[in-house]
Amino acid sequence: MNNFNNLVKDTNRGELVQRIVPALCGICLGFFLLLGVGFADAHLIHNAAHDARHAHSFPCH
Amino acid sequence: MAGLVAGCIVFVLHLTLLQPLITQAEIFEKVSSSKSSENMVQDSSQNSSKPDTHHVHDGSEWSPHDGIERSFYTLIAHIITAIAYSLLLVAGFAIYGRDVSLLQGLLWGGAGFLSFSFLPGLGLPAELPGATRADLMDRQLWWLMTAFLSIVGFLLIAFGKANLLRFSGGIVLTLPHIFGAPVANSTMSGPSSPELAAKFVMLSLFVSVIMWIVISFMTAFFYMRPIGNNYFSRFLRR
Repeated sequence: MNNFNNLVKDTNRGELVQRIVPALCGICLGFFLLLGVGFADAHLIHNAAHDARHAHSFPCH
Repeated sequence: MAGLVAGCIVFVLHLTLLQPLITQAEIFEKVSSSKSSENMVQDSSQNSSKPDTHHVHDGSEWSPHDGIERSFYTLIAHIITAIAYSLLLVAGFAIYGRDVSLLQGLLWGGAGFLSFSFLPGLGLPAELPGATRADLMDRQLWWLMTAFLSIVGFLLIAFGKANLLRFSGGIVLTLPHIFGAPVANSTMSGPSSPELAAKFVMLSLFVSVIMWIVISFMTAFFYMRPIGNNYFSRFLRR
């Protein structure tokens, strides 16, 4: 019975990890893209994304 | 996929609704900066300084040519922004871990709109080029802090088990606004007319609403799709 409980616990933990790890990767990538398009200070990125930054109300200039 | 479609829709709305206002504001900005540089030449003996309300692109910097090239980069930026928001939304669904119906997806999208577009916009509304504003770093920090605290606040309100947690979610939501957005030191106004700026704020919010509806609808749909055969009925349930 004890072994069965451990098995259930491990399966739940495995499912949780399977769910959370991609979600955290998604959050990191999402924020990376958001910071890149909306907030990066490099002139090249700023000038390319300029109009979109204004449209999305990201602080610009 | 959701980001790609939403980005393209936002781009079309941007070209038809927002770009004419941006172009018009840039004309005002150029006229204003050329006037101020003329004044600088005339008043150089009085040590007049150029107002910091204007940004003038240095000729040596690369920037896309007006027309198709500029629109192309705007399209790419909109698609990347929409993909970024879609990723954050799907990540939220995954951590939530249960079925996400259409209605729930739209609620998540509504919280996203409030956190990333509306609530930061309360303190720092969308600006036309040339608008008067505070230091860039201060505004960026306030924007990011407001977005982050808004997300935390909504999560506490939606998933807090105790009333105290939900209440503290409300407090967290209002914190950045009690603290206040950075304001410009200058009392001068930008070169664009207030009417143009007001129209830009409303239209950019409208475009954001459309973007978040498309993103939340599509991400919820694609998130539910691999789960089972009867996903459509589970997607449409309340």
